[in-house]
Amino acid sequence: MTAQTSLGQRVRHLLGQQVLAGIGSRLMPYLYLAPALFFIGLFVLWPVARAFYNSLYDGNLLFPYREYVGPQRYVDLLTNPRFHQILIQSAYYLALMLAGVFALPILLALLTLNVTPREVGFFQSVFFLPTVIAANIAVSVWIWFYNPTGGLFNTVIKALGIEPVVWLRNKDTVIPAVALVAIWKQFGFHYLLALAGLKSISTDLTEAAAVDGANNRTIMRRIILPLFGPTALFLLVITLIQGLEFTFVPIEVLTRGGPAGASSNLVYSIYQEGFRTFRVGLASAQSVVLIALFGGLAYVQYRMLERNVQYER
Amino acid sequence: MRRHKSLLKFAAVHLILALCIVLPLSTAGAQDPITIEYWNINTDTFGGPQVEALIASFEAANPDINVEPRSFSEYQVLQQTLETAIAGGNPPDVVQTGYPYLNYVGSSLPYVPIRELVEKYGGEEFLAQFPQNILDIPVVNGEQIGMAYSLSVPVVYYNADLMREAGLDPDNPPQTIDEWREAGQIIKDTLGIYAIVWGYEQDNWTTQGFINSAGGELLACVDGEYRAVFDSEEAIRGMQTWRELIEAGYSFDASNEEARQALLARQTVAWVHSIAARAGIQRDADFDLRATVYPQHDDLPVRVPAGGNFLVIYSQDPAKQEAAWKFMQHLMSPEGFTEWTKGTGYVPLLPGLTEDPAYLADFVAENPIQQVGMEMLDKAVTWVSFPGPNGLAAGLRLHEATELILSGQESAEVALRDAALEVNDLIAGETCEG
Repeated sequence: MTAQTSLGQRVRHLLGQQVLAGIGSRLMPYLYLAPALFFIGLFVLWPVARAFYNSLYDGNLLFPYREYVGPQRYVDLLTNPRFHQILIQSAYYLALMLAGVFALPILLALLTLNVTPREVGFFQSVFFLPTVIAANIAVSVWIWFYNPTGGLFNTVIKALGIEPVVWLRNKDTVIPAVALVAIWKQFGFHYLLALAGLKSISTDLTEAAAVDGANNRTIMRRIILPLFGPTALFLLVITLIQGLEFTFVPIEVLTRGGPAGASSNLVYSIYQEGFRTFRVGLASAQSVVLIALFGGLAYVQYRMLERNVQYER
Repeated sequence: MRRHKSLLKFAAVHLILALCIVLPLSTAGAQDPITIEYWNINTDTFGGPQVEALIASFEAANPDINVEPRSFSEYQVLQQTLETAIAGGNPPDVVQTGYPYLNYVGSSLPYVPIRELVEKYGGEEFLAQFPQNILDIPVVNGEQIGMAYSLSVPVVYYNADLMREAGLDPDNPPQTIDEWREAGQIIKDTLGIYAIVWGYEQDNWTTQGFINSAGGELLACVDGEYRAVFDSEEAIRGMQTWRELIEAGYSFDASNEEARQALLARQTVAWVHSIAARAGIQRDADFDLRATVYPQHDDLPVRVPAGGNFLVIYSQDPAKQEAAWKFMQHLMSPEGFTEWTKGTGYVPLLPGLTEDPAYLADFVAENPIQQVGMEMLDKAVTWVSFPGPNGLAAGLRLHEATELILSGQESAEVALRDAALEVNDLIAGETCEG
């Protein structure tokens, strides 16, 4: 009897341990993830949920729940021609940023890949300098460049006998003028990333290909560019996701979105509605649209580009 | 027994130690001065030293109160920070607020009304010094939400040396838009520079000056509701005049800073700006700087918005409220206004100071530019603050219309008509009396 009991107890004990071990092994990963999930929830998911909640109400920062507007907020926003214009201008900015801080840094990195280390150091220093200057100070320099009367650009233009341009008050020139400042500020960092990505490709591969008779073009197409894929993907994602943010300080310092909103974009518009006219509900709705657009864009990028990117194994 | 004794000793020692720590703290707490925050837009080059001096004299007279100033580059940045501070439960005590925010503050922020301050802490005599029209400036829906503090009017600063070079008489500067047109052609032909520049920002101060002086209005009370009326013929003519001056090459489309730089760099003969900038521009100009009155449109009376700010108290703690109210009265005392006017150019709001030799009489007599500012006072009208929670967005629409007109992208008629439609949507339902 005693032997049976102790056997039964042992079996139950072992089963219990196995079950506990099973539960434990299933729970363990979540326990490890818990701190990270907690902070993601607190600093990412909660603000997003709160922004969506705020977007359904009218009011300022202090009385954000004064009047319920509901989904009509999104109908009004998405059918508003002013908002359409903001979206078009955002796309224009992104196109310029893609050219200036994605394509151009890669191109220059390719061109300077085989120069001497001393020359590379020179290029890195020159290109990277604007990145390390505080944004508002760096951008302030451009106020003088664009000054309509005694500014650098108009002085040069006048000397050439051309009529001066009011760069920041003309709707045709204002976005390129602002984007140029953002590109100048961000270019160096992206150039360094591109150069580092290119330099990380083993020369064994390119030398072996050359020994096998591959010409430069083939080496570039078949070896360098595919192995550069992950870096290029990273730069592309950063440019598209943060492109509008890069332009924020230049817009604020140079134009404040003017003339008549012609230099604004989605990120700046959110700031303007939230912190200039204190319409937090409208700013929150625009933030939700921004999250949806760029979240979707990032997802599509990864899905489409991951297939064509080759990682060195 | 011995154990009990040692326990008693232990407790007694700790009690004495605790008292040693707590008593000085509580005594210190009772003697600690009250600290209040004063938020302003006064930088080192614009009234900052005067703020420091006024705080020093206040603290000397009130050793139990500390005032910590916090300076912002502009009203908008101050207002933005103010909202987050209030939302965080830590509002500043005394805040300079630009007049365009008057209706917004009155309808959306937890200010302490002047009536409540007087009821709690007195101050009837202080209020009695001011004319009723000055007390009425910061009134929203029948409640006085603060005290009008800084008052400025636009004047025309000009470079007399350049005027002489162009063959014009600097002792008789142009007084009307037409005279500035004639002078503009001469200046353009002889010196190849601009004649007169109006800088403008998102606050519509300059825009309102053009519209009002051409006989137009920004807002009207129609059937008990506010309506935007800046698309009237008069308003359109006023804005069209501004545009024509730019098109003719007598002026250019400029921000305040661009216009200021142009005057200092001799790229323009004249700059129309606030008398509040008088001290700064006098310090920076290395030429014969003078000022004249705002130009008249045809034979219409000159009407320009009174710029500047009013003071609002946000303290919730009674001790701080009382200290803030005392500090506000110090800023607006005869001595306070004397310091303020000398250091900035703002017009003092206490009657009689400019005639009193104990205060500003000598200063005004020796400062002809300040005299021009005083001359302009009776031409000042209320700086329009669009009503309701969308009031700031409404103001932005008018500013955008100004940008469209001056950059030549739209005619004054189209830009003002479209903006008025939008503004009327934004302020729909905002009631008024009259």
